[in-house]
Amino acid sequence: METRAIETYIRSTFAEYAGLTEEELFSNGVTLAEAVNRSPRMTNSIDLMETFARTSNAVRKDYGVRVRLPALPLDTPMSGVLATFLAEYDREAGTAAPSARPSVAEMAV
Amino acid sequence: MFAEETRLSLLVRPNDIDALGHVNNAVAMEYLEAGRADWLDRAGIVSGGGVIAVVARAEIDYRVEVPRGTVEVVTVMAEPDPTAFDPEGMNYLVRFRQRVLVPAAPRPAVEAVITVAFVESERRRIVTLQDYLAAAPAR
Repeated sequence: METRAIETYIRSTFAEYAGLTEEELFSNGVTLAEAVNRSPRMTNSIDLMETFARTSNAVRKDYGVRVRLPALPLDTPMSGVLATFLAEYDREAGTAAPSARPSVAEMAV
Repeated sequence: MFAEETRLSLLVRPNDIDALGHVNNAVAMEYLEAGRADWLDRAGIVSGGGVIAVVARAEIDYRVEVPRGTVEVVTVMAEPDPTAFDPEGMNYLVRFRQRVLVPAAPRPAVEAVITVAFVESERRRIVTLQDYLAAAPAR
């Protein structure tokens, strides 16, 4: 399956802000909690939220689309986070059929 | 609006001094908090409005004893970059770089990086700096 440019952008931008490689983040079902543990720049879930916010800010700046992620549990795999990010991007960009936001639990902080 | 470095002078209180005759390490945290409150005030930000700033991380180096007398708390916003702050963006963290200076010491007595996050008091959830500013009462 062809990888979309926005997906490549999100993966590389998030990895840059997290201080990890894409391989370290997106392979073998790495979860949000494991991403925090592996990252030299994140120590808690608030750092994680900031990393996503910075990625969203970059997407808004370079693609003109504002993406605001819902709260996600820390056992969510990064692949699932990426899928949610892309779904929110499509929803905000108006490139996807309207659908309900994913139902997710509040993230503990 | 956020780029200003602030300096707050404080008088060391008798009860700030511990058994060794210098300011106790925990009291230095209070000095830093007072410095951040002063920074907010000078930036024209009024606390309240249902979103509360909370300390999420404190990195502190104690370098020199703080004796009786006065101290000066120097506070500057380090992250997000205050010269490039985007009111339309999202920032969940603010990092303040702070120092406590004493007149006789050639270098800072305390150096700290304090990370602050923002909590919506009713729903107990983390929100952004932009949400905090939007909720702040008008001065």
